[in-house]
Amino acid sequence: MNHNQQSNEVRHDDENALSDFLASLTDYTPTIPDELVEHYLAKSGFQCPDVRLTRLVAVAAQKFVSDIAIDALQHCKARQAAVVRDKKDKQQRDKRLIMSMEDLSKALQEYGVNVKHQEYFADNPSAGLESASRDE
Amino acid sequence: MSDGGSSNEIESRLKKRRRKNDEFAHAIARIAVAQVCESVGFHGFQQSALDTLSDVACKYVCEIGKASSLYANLAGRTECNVFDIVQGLEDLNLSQGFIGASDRDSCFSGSGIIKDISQYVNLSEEIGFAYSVPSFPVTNERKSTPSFLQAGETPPTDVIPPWLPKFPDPQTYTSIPSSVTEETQILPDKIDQEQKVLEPPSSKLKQFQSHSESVFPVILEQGDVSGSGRLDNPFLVVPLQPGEKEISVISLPAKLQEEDVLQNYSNHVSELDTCAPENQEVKSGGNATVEGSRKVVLNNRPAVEVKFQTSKKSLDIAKAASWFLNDEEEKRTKKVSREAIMDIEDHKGNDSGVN
Repeated sequence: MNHNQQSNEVRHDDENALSDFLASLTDYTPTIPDELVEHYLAKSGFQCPDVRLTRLVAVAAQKFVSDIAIDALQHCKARQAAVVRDKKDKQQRDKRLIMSMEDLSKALQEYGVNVKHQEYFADNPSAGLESASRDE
Repeated sequence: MSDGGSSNEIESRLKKRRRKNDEFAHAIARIAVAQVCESVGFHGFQQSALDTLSDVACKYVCEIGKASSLYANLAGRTECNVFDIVQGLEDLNLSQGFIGASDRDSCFSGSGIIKDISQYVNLSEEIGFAYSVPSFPVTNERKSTPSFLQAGETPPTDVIPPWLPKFPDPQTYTSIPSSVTEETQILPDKIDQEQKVLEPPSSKLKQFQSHSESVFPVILEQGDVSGSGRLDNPFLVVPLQPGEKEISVISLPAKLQEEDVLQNYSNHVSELDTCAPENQEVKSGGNATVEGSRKVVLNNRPAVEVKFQTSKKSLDIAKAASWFLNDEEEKRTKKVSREAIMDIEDHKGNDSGVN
């Protein structure tokens, strides 16, 4: 009996927390606009007239993107720290943090998204081959 | 290999088309993702990296939608509620992990995902989207043809019920073989541009009529009436009469002509050798072509002679088989050829029966 009452209370609290959170979402404007989220949700068959649910999905997507960005940033900073140079270079390096495909692909790999970027593109099939194997 | 390549091309073309339809949404997604990354601490992006991340974000939103609608449909509903979304999010974020992922009987309202998201909302700054986005996709209002009742008309026959859409104007589908100037007067509500387009075709018509007497002007008139767009099409223009346009005659120099003769003679001789085991008819025919071509070769290229044989097909099969096989297998092939002969004769018989 007590156990049931306790679990009921816990559920009540959780539901309150959820409803409070949803209510707070109406004030919070996510960076990803509502129209864009609605477009993609409509494309995949999601039907809901409630704005709060659209905001919930938008916030979830924003959190996802920011998580990936933070991971990529850490990869970028780690790479910059690995290249240790003079004091002058260090000051220059701290200024520009640029998201590159390498960092992004490493970060996305942890999330299960495999993005393989071409290292270089050759203009003919024999480019880069040893001279012995080339027909001249 | 080639089939795989062509299907890959088709797939890539389709993907490009899909991207074309979605360009606006992708552009907005790119801006939003760039804003989020900027708030995280990045100063700049590589173009391809930004494109990839925005693509991934769009796909993530689609996946949430798919998973949520799946759970809603599973419960027998068409509209999703918050628990469907929570379940969808749990499915997608299971690989990353969240608090309470391993619990079996936890309620969805107390899910770790919601706690993570609410924590994120509380801690992060609120950054609005940089531009105001109109609601899209914008649907074009299609003007549907009114029904007979709506237009106040009665259908021409009793068979057609009045609630069906009415027939289009008869002028749009009947061709009136009158002069073009009358047409422009009859339709005064057409804009000036169309009238201007109609006039040059009439001058063209007069030009062709004055050139030579031929059957074509009748067709041109019908083309005029049906629409001005047809005459703009160069493929539908009246073809040139023979001798109308001067075509330069190509004359080969003397040396090349002689080489041609030798080449063609040698070609025909080799053809004769390979044709040796064929029937007498073909041989004689081949001889005739060689002789004929020898005379003709000085002026033109030799004509390609194609002989269609309707009879003696079965003999050819047997002979063709005998060229390539040993004596051991000849008996087998003879049986096969006999069956083939039988088949062919049966088919012939059938054909004659049908005829």
